[in-house]
Amino acid sequence: MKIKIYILLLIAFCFFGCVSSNAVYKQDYDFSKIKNVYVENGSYSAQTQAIRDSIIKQLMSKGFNLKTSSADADITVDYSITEYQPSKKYLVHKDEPYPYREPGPHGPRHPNTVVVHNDPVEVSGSSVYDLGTAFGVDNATVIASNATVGVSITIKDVATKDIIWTNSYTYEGLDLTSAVDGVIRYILKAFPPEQIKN
Amino acid sequence: MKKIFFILFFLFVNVLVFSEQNNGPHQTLTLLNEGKNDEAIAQIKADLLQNETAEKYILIAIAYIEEEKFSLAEESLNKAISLQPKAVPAYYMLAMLYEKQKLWDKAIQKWENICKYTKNEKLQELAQKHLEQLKGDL
Repeated sequence: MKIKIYILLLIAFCFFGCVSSNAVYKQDYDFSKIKNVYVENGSYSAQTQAIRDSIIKQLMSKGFNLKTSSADADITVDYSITEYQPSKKYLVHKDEPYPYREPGPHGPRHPNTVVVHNDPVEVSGSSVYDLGTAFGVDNATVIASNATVGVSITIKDVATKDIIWTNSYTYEGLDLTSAVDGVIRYILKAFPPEQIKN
Repeated sequence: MKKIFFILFFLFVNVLVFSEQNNGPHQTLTLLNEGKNDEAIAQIKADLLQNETAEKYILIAIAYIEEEKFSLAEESLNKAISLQPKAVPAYYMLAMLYEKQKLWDKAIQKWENICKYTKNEKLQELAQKHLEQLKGDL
């Protein structure tokens, strides 16, 4: 009996553990009636336009009709950018390997902790990786940060003005374009939610 | 006396050689930073003729990516892996490159290699996150 319970718990753990979506939605809302969608304009910056274009692309590929006015739509899609980091690369120097060091201002320091000495050489462009003691330079390493984009999306019913669905996510890409595509694709993957009909 | 002179001369030459080696990557990174990608590529190509290393191939791939020459970047990264089969940075860049090109199967393969070879916990987490999403796309 106990074994069965453990197996059930293990299955339940695996099932919920694999669910990565943070989507939350209004349980009694009928998502199947949604046909026409309006995506808010937001501010006219290159960042918001890139996000908006990607949302439109994803929703169209899901078969929704995209409208140019909220008056013609069943729902409106609003979004906010929580993170927008173009990729950067740095040449930094590794800490000298000490067996033990007193804790620094940011907590204990361990051997091989990567710290930036002097001014790092920043390389604009793509991609977080450590190239190791690279290019014959002792204690030096190239660390690169990828492009990261975080977005939060809220969907409202036009008639009732109720928020019916919300989700947020952060994703990384080689550049901003692929990070934007990735984050919007994975946010909207959970839209519309699969509802169990009575 | 001759011996001392010879030792001093030997040390001087060594210092010159090593300082040149050390300046190479700094110089290349500076060129990349200034957007002089072509010059950076030419410099790394010349370095590669002298000595092929995985790091140089990774560096030239970075330059190719800046130039959006993705197939050349892919070729260079594969060469880096052939020289150093556990070159995590090369797998990382290939995974990102394949994601950009929507080649999900290939991207999954590279993220799996990262999981296998990296000891960096953050990178492990990142790889797991991407694997979870990409496998959901198939």
